[in-house]
Amino acid sequence: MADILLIEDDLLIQKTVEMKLKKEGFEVYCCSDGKEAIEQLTNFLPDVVLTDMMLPYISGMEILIAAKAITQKDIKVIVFSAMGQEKVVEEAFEFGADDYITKPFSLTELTIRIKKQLRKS
Amino acid sequence: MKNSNFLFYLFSREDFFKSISITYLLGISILFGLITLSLVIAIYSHLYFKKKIFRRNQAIHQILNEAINTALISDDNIDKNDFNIPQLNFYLRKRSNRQFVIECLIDIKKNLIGQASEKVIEIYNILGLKKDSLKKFNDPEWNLKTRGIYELYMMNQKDMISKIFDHTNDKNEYVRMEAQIASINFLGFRGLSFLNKLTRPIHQWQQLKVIEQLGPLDPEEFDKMSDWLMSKNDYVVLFALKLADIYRQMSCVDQVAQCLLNPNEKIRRQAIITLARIDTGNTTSILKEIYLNESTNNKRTILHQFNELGTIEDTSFLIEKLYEEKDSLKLEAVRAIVKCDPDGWNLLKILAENDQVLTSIMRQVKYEKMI
Repeated sequence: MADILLIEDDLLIQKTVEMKLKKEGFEVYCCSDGKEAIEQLTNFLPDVVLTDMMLPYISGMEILIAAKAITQKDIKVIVFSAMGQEKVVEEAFEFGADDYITKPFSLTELTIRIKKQLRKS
Repeated sequence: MKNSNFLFYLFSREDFFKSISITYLLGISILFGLITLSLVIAIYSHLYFKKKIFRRNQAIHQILNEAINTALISDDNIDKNDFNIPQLNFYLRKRSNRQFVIECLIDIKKNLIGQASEKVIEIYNILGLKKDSLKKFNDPEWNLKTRGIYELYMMNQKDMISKIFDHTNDKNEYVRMEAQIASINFLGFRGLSFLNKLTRPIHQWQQLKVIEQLGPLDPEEFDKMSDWLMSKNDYVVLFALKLADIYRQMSCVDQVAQCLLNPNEKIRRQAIITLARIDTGNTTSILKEIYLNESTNNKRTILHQFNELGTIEDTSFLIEKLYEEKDSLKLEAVRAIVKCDPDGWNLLKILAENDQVLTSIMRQVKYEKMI
């Protein structure tokens, strides 16, 4: 059972994604802001991080950098981006993002992408 | 000035403060006391109601969250009974609470596509929230009508297409704008058909919003593009030119060229840009022809197009423009010469020998190239 750290400040979406992923058999830990996410990265050591780019306090980009730098584990990072944020996605890939998903997204597609990343690792 | 002198005189008199009676002072103190008290009461009651609304919204949020998420992640169809929750029904009796629920559903809908998104719409229908959106849509107040349109298209209420479409030429700008966006949301590229009958303005901001809405969609054929380019409404022509530019409508090149003769300067400028983008080979010669009779702004736009389209054959035309009165035109001409003629820079050096203005323009272009 893989561990997923979900960072999303929209609580309704956070809950929806959380329940979908739990239903798929993943262990999910949710955070609503970047500060909490950075703390949880070292405590929770997830297999996959799902992060929104626009977050309070600390941006998704900083979480991505932290996920790739502060742990020894090969954490896969999938970023959520809004439509038309190609530059942000490009930057995220430069900093080591493994995949991205554009909002609005399909829950099924999200699950498939997570599974794909887990297969890679 | 006289008043302040009088007050100064009044306060400086020793007997002034003695002359104020205790009753008067007491009256003033009570008055200020009452004002302060009413202010404190107003602030507290405002905070109390705000907190109450916040708590109530949180409670609705929690109930909704459970019900919606169970429905969204389930592979089965939504069961109406899942939403027959007594507590939720109690909250939904109040209009403001129903509005909050609609906003929550729109928030989720914005982030999801696929089956989950369809289910959000189903929940909206099950909870009977369409009635609220319709009430707003039918309200004569523009702000409510706009909100109603927004909710109806966000919740994909396709039976409302024609009624909403009727407002795409509404006299109120905001209603019109929302109805146009709704039209695109419902019908995709076919939704642009509101341009066929648009007699009112479609401002630049709205044009950008429509283009943004069209962005993720697969382009379809623009059957009516020629009609839009010949429209009597200048805003429609301008917008059509932009669409022809973005979606490279080569088949409309003749109509775009016709727009170069339009009396409206902005239309001619956009036509120059569009024509350059959908270049069919003879754009530079057309641009050279119209150059002389154009405004300074449009002349600059024409010269700018030579940066991309110009070839060595256009050098002599561009050199002529170095003797234009306006420095901005000379600057564009220098930029274009450097781009389209491999030997352009050396040519310019010779021409600038006794010309200080041209020398400084060349320095500017050299600096731009270094950046």
